[in-house]
Amino acid sequence: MDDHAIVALYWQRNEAAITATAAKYGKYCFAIAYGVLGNENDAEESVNDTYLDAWNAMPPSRPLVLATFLGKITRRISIDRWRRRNAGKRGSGQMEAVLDELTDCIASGDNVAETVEQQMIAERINAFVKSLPDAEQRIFLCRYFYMDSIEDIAKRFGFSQSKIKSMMLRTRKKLRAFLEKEGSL
Amino acid sequence: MNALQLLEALGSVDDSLLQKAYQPLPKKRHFAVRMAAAAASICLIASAAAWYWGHSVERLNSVSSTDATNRDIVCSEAVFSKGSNSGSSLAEQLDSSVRADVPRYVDLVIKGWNAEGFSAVVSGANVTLDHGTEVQVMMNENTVRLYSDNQLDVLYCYEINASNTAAGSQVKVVYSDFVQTDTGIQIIATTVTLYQQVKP
Repeated sequence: MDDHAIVALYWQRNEAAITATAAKYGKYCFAIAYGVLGNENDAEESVNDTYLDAWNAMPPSRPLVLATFLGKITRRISIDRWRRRNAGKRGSGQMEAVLDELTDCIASGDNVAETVEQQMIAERINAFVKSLPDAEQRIFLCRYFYMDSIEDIAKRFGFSQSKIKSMMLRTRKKLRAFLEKEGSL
Repeated sequence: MNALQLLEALGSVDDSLLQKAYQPLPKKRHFAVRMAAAAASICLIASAAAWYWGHSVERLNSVSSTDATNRDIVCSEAVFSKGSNSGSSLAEQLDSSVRADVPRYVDLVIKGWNAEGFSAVVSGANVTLDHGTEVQVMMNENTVRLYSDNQLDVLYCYEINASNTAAGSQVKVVYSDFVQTDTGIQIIATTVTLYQQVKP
């Protein structure tokens, strides 16, 4: 079913919207959730929560790109679930590795709790991602947004795993330098 | 800021970037292929120059352009080589080619001219023309045939037959490569080569 038609179903408060979303984007959302949580049951719950969140968001939202709209919800819900589940514990999935890698980009363990500051950081990171060369940009997002494994990314782009790792290392160094320059660190 | 906050901040990346992330990378030619293409282009230029100085041949115009993103640089060359004129109905036997150095190339071979027109072949010998590649063959500004490849496919050969091509007629070959973006179609590179029939 066409995305516009699915969104229209949400706006009509027609529960067929959920069925259509699950049929078209269920696997996509599950892949994101599983990347974060590394557990099928938890990922499935996150996907179901995604449908509920989407149901509550539309209306008033009318997303232009339904896939990424759902993907962002799934990612947020999954990270929240991971945080609750893993308070003080180490888990499976890509989350641990991704967080370890991103530690390269930050100065210390200081927390910035301010929402405004978080919003500014989000905007800066968006600008940073846009500034990256095409391949680096895609690989960076596959790893740190979709949380794909390095093996999967290497297969998708036809590069060796070591090349992916070295590209990501360079990108993280660039991100750190960028955040320092922008005063976010 | 901690790593988790950084990871969460990444969740607000633009949708267009996220969509693009899962698309396949544009294909790049292997270095050796690039070198071979460059060498072939040099040969073509040299042949064209030799032909121009050694024979009475109509001048060819070849124009290449890239858009502002300058993602790919296209070079194009065209060559006429005079075949044997047996005095038959074929006024001239012309071979011509258009070559876009990147990302792919197509060849136009005019097999024969006659009073009624010409027959030619566009071929991209085993070259995959990806989504968005379009080849137009134009004659005196009027499109005589259009090849448009909207799906992944392989263009092996494309036959052209045109009429009303008296001696001196011009054939324009336009080779464009474009991509579909969120805002519409974006031309990556265009190669325009003008062929002109040699008067017997």
